[in-house]
Amino acid sequence: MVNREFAETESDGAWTAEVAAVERRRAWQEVWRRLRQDRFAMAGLVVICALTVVAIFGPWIAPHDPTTQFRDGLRIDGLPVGPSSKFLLGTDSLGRDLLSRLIYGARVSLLVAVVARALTLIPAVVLGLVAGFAGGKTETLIMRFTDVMMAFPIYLLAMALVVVLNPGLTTLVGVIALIFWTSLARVLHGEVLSIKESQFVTAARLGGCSNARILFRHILPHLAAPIIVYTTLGLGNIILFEAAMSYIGLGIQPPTPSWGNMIAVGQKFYMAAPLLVVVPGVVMMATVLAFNLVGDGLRDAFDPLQRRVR
Amino acid sequence: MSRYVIRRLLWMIIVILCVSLITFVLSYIVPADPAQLMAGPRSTPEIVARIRHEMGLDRPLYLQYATYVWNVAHGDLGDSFITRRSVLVSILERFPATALLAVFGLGFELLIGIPTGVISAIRRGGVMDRSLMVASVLGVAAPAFWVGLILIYVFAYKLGWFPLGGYEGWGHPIYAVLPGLTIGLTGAAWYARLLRSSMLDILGADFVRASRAKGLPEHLVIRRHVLRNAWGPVVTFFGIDFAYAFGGILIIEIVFSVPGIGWQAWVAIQNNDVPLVMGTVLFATFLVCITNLAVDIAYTWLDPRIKRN
Repeated sequence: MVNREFAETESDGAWTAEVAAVERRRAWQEVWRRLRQDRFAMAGLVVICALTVVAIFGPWIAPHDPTTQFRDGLRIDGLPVGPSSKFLLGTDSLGRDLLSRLIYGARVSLLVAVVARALTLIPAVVLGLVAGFAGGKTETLIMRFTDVMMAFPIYLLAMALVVVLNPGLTTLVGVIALIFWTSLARVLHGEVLSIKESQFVTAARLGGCSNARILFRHILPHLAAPIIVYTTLGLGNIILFEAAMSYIGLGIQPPTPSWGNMIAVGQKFYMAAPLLVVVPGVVMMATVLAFNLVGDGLRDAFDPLQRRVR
Repeated sequence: MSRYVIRRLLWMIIVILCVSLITFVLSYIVPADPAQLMAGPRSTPEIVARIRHEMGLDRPLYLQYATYVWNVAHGDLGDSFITRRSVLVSILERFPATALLAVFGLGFELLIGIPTGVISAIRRGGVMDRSLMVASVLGVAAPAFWVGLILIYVFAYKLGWFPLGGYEGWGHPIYAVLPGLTIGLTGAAWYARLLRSSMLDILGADFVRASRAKGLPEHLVIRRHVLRNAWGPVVTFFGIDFAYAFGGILIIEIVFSVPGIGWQAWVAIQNNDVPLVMGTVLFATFLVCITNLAVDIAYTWLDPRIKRN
């Protein structure tokens, strides 16, 4: 452990700052150490890393182009062909290679999830922080607005937005950013409410810091844990949402493969070739599960005292 | 109590006003030309101009919005672009199908979730608890529409126990079993986890130890003392879940070809039928608000300790 007493009696400011930096590094190492002990979280992390590699290097990994309709990709009776050495998982109802589409689908699904989730952080952090810190009318207004957004059945709101905008990747990302910020904003609001009573906030204020400086330099770093945990947990939900929207034709538009629209296409020959529906679903479930496991693991790792009751 | 209800009603009106502002912006401001949209692709400029005047699009925006709100307040959600029929009538016609799915869906969620939560809490750490919790983690991660497709394959196509999809009225609830089960399987996990942790909290309380010490049989301890105190979070969550599950039901309608309001809105989107989509949004919001209000009132009635502020 760092020698606290020594750090406090030391008059040299630079030395104190260094000690603080070491402590901060230790705190992160501690989180990582605890996370490593969580077998489920580590399994999730492995899956996520593997998927990320597949998504980034997709064009080099995929055996075929995902949109090419192969002549030998359909049987004589028009049904998709089963797994073979050329098509490892078989083809879809249009004679395209299923494995290649899955790989490219991973690119799309992860891209949408990560970009959209990053965008939701902006309203979530700004509104949550401001509502918690400002209090009074501002707080009521922001939190009530959050409630309104939460009262909306999200799929319907998304449908309403898509009907006036045009369906596609950009619209989908925008819609997700507009919808999925509410729960994080609520959590942060609650956290700020308790943090702003801390002595270090009072100290910062006495030191003459502006409100913005207190919020973003002093309070925000303390919110790293909830932000990381909820961001991870939210990714799984966004992947499910994207899939459902693409499945009903309001998300990613064909021929671009996404796991959701692959299921919609696969459904046409569902009874004859159930794999076309089963495989993308299983892959999606594994992905969402991985994000949820890592999110739960992170929550425990950040907050060992308030462990979930197991 | 009545003051509380009045405040909540006022709040509900504000929510619906906000939502109406959103649907107004989406139907009148975001599209480049709503009149053109209504007139359809093969229309002359004269027709578009006449429609623009009829729709009041040549008037100031605040007047347009005021008229819109006035109409909505009177239950006039406009007419469908395609069928020219009243949107509200179209929605109300389709609503029974959605309601049947909602009853089955939410019913299955509770039917699966509550016993799961109770058993896991009682058998904490045991094999049963662990396997149920693994199942709940899987349930949360599975895409609902996909679970629906799997159920169709197994129970409707292979085993033939249930119809593949469709809707034949409330008299034939068998059509709602698989869609309901889909919602139930993917949503029950939340209830199970919530009830489990809330029961575990209470199982550690002094009054539970006291009732065990006086020799009360364990099942009575659970039923009379633990469960009664553990309901709170479940009831609150039901209010939150309703909005979510309702949205999910609209997707499930599409999977099972159930002609409810979700299916109708979906078809309307493909036809660019903006009033029907926006009307469905307003209708659903109204329904969610009413349910939340009912849940909150039920909550204060179930647990009088809760202060209403």
